[in-house]
Amino acid sequence: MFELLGIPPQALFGQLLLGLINGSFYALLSLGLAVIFGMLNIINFTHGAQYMMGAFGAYFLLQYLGIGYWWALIISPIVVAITGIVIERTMLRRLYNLDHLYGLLLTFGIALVVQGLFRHQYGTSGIPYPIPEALQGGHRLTFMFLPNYRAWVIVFSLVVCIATWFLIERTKLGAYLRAATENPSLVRAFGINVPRMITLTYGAGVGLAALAGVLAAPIYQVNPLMGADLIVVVFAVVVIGGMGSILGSIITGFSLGVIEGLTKVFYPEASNTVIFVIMALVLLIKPSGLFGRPASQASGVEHAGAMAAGDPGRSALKFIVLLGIFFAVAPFFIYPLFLMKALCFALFACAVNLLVGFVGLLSFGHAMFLGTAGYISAHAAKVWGLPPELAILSGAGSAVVLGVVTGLLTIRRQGIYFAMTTLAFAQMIYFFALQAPFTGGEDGIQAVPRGMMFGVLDLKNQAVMYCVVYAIIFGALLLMYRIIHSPFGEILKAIRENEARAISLGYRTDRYKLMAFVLSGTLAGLAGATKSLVFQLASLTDVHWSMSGEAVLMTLVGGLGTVFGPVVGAFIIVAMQNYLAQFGQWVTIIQGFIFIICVLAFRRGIAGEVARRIGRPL
Amino acid sequence: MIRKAATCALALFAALGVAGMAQAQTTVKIGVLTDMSSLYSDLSGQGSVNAARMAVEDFGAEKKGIKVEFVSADHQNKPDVGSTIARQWLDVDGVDVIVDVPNSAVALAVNGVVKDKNKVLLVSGAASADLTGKSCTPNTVHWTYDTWCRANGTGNAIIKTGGDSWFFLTADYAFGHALERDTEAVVLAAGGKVLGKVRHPLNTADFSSFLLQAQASKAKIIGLANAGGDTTNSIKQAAEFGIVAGGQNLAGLLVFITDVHALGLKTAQGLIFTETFYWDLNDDTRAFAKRFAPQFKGVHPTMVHAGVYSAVLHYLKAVEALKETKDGAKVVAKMKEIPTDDPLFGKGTVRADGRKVHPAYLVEVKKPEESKAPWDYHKIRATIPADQAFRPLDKGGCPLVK
Repeated sequence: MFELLGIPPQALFGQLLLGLINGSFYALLSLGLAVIFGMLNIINFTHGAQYMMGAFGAYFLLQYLGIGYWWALIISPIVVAITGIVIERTMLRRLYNLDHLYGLLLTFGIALVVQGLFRHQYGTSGIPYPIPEALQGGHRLTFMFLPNYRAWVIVFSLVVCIATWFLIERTKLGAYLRAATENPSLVRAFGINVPRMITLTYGAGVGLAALAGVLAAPIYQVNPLMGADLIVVVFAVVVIGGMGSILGSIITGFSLGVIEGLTKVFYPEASNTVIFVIMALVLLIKPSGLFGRPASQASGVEHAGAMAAGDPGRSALKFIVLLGIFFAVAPFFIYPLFLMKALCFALFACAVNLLVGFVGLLSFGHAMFLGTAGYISAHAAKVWGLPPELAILSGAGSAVVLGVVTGLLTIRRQGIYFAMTTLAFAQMIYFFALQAPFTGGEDGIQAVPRGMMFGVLDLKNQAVMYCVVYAIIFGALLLMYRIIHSPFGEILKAIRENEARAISLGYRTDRYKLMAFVLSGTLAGLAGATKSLVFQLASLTDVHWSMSGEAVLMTLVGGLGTVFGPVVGAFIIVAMQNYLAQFGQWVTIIQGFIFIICVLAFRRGIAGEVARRIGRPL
Repeated sequence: MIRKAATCALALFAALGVAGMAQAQTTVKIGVLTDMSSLYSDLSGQGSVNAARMAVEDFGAEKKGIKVEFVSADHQNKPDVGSTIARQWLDVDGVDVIVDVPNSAVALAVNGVVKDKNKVLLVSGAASADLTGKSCTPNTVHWTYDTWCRANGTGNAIIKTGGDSWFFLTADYAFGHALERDTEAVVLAAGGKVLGKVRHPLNTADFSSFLLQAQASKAKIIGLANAGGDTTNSIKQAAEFGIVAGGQNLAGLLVFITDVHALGLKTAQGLIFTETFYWDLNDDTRAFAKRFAPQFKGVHPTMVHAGVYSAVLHYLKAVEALKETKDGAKVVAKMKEIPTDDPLFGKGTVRADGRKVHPAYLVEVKKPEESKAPWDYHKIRATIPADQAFRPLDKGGCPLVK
């Protein structure tokens, strides 16, 4: 067996042990995330930044106060936990009765600001932190050299994990906590201060993240961005374990560390992707995670309804006509290429919004449509030499195919599980885009020819290109408006309002939802295909998960629950990326602040606020 | 009303035009497009903007009748953001030359835009040797270094000192593959052998598993074909796992002095890599560093910063000779025609394919006890002469070379 795998058993043991060590980091981090989600119903995207703050805390203590590792292990998590408590008291508290999405966006915004500020101060190369005296060196085991510090990490995190589990599942305090999550008002009636308990729980979860940060400091560079990418992986661990399940996240953390470790031996390229493959598999077989309680599903549906769009009437049509006039006049005053970018993203964001507003499903993987269609149409135009109209069609066509395949697999999931399944598929597409030879790795497909549309329209001319993009995007938006008001759209609304009743009326709801998903994916693909011709390039940026996040952001800024609000959102976000670029490193910090302000003060988004003022849905 | 305004504007433009002509002044607008917020912001970033400004000062542009304006932007390591900014700069803002552009993907995208608009691109931060190979243009000069230069310098030098068996730790990205491919070619040509390689995803935090594989291969040299945090983490963990103590050596293929600073000498000591600039080479470079560091949080200039300085200086010389900036290809042709000479890189030339050539230095990171001052990090082990430091002109596949 081992011979077949091409690796001697001793090396295999070594890799298994290393996997367990990495798993212990996952376990610690996902434990904190699971505690917070279980008790507060908040998806804490600041977790990565708080992990980073923990590591920096250890560094500050050593650098400025001469306090070593052992004290840092206690002091740093407490200090970071206090900052967490401040965040909870001032901001998170306002969001408890809202959809998960708002908590996620708020904490994501906070993470951007925190990471940006640290980066501004300490650069991106990182700072060294020494391994404490007592743990330097290592032992030569029969199968590998084991540094003492790594052995310490695994033992220590196991102890912390078990202690946390015991505290929550086996003590009286834990019982109060669990009761408070189930029914806060009843628990309060027993004379227990629930808000304070929740605040302290958030602090404890954050403290766990910071503790992992201190543990990581001597192994990895202390770096402002060290938690930025980690958060998605850790979040995947929590979802696989079952949202809110303490034991689930511990076990999953360790086992995924091992699986990732084995992947590093047999197919190292995929070692960052394997977690998402497993997440997709688990969610397809067991929709609420390995140890999750199925009950949590119902809340997803109920919340999704809250974000759903009102019934857009004539006012929405007027709104889109206004936007149309704006974009027809704008190129005389604003740089057309920038406007074309804004238009492409407008369609992309509207596609995401269509799914949220009319099916009640938030996709966190729409970048896969944008990116895939972009690659296909760029390849079609450049290598196959197809004219632009066919290139765009083939790009959109690829999105249809992708939409059908992923839609069939994901459409039965709901709420956060749907978001995570789409994310998982998007990560696999990202991996494919990275590995497939025709995509050109991170260089992407460059110098894509724009060509002659229908043989007569020379797209190299900026004005002609603008007109074509304008026609495509507004054509698609009007089509979307039409579909919403068609019988098909009415059925979708019926399903969103009450799926059970729609089924009883004889509608095959899954089929309708699938069609909506494919439609949304196709529109996103159309946006991607057009974008690749406008910029004459298709790159990995468009498939990356942060692109899916950007689409959600545009939707939120523009107005969840409006049909065309995302057009405004897209315009603003793209303008920020473009015109704030001169502020350099401040861009992400400013973006973060805008997230926070939007979530706290303008939850309806710009178009949503306008709609409320004029009293008509947009 | 509108007509009136338009007439006014027209008159204003005319007046400006006349005024401009009266002074007979050449105006240059320099756009520094760089990474301000992530991976490469320490080795380029704001420091590149400062370096460009220093070049303009030192050139004495104002006295010579050249008016220089600056813009700068963060491309966020996204090719589409980079190319939008570049297009807008060239179309609307009247930028004549774009400088730096770390990140090969962004540089390649901007490379195409600049050629279309016939302006000038001076690359310092990006590594891809394709910029002077199959993607070369008459509008681009690749200044500081490239993947071939570093792979060749480091590979050859290590083979000569007996490091003839290699294991590669490669970032699973086009630039990582290019570094690995170029180094492997050097190793094989010199009679060495490659015992194995492992491709890790970008931004991996933990390298212990890969390092264990490298250890098991018993290769004498572990070549790190990765960059930034990936490189520093692999070096740090190699020390932790006793790889260097066990007799294997690390070769960094894309290491910068800022990485050494980030690691600290205790961890980085003994690391060998190739640079084309070190601040402590001679009095001129030390003087430059002394001016540069206080403006950039004490960070001493990397070769990317030095390259930006040197490239802008040479560009201005060409502009001074031509008295115009509008025809980018013409300016680059002039840059290729006049030999380069500046305090940081000494004498050199710009080749037909757009490659700037100058000597490269094989450096070894000092032991902590050898370092006498902050940023005193490198020992120069060998100097690779300019004619051997870069890929031969006929090997790159650049269409401009006939």
